[in-house]
Amino acid sequence: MEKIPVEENILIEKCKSGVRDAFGPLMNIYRRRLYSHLFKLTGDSADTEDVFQETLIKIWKGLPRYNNRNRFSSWMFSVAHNTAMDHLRKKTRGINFEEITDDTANIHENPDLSDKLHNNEIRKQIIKAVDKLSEKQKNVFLLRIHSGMSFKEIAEVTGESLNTVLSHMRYAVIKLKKYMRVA
Amino acid sequence: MNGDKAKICKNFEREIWLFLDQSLPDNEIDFWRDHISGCKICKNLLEQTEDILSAAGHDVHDIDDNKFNYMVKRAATKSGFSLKDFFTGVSIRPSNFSRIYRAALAGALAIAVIFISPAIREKNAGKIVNGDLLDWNGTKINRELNQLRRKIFALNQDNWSKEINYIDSRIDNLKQRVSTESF
Repeated sequence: MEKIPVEENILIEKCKSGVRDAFGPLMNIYRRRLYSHLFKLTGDSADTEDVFQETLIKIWKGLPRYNNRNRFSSWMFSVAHNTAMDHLRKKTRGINFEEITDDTANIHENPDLSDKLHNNEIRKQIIKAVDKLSEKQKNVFLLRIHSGMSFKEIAEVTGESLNTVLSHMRYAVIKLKKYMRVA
Repeated sequence: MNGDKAKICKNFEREIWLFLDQSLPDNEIDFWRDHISGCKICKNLLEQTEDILSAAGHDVHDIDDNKFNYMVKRAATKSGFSLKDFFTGVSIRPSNFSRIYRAALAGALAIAVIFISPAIREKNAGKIVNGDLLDWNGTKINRELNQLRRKIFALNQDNWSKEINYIDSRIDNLKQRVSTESF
């Protein structure tokens, strides 16, 4: 397991014992990653702020029960992810995950893709393409990108088997590559 | 590409995520490192995948500093006390304190119930179950029923037609008297 930096550990312990002033600096470490993750999941800044606030409350409340055996970032992202999923379910909004058809095309093709990736425009297209992944593929992909969770941890958060999670990730990347070939 | 090598490359395609996670056994990681160094296709696949992950990771969104500080403050203060938490055991307080708080609240609620419930009963019960009110209603209804019964009995005995005949004969008499007096 990845070691938690000492300062972060101190902040966690302070928060666990109810020191409110330690919560801001602790959350500031993950603020951008957490906010970006929620933004990509909800796709709307108003929703993101609602979920972000709810997540902060849940994290603060849950900290006394946080088990140091798990990585703090993984625990925190699982709280955030579940909060976002609940929020989206409540809204019963049909998220527009327009599917790019699943394709088991050989992803070894197209060796020029790496060169394209250094182009900012292409990078923007990837970011847009992430929104077009199916809900499950998007969840796995974003958790991997933002939280740095291992796939085993992602499997625990999403409640799916490791193989299913790996399969979602594989197809997500295939779709992104396919999208880039089209672009 | 011979058949065995193609098979190995296909396997790498499946194991790439566990390889990136470093969650494969050390000997397998070493095996894949060796393979990648000599296989252009798999090296390319690894680079592309890492580039896509990194490009998507550049999609950073952030929240305004003031808003963030406000949200953190709100999260840390809002969860100081909540009835739901009291009973579900989700509390930011250390658990030994939350037990005392819970017991104190339960006691306070019990005392409140003891004092409030008699007052509520006195106020409403007399109006709802009032013997006099029921008797009065019973007498009235009984009287109306008797009257109705008498009317039905009168109709059954054909007293009604007798009354009409009597009135008719009275009208005839009056008509005769009027006609004789006018001549």
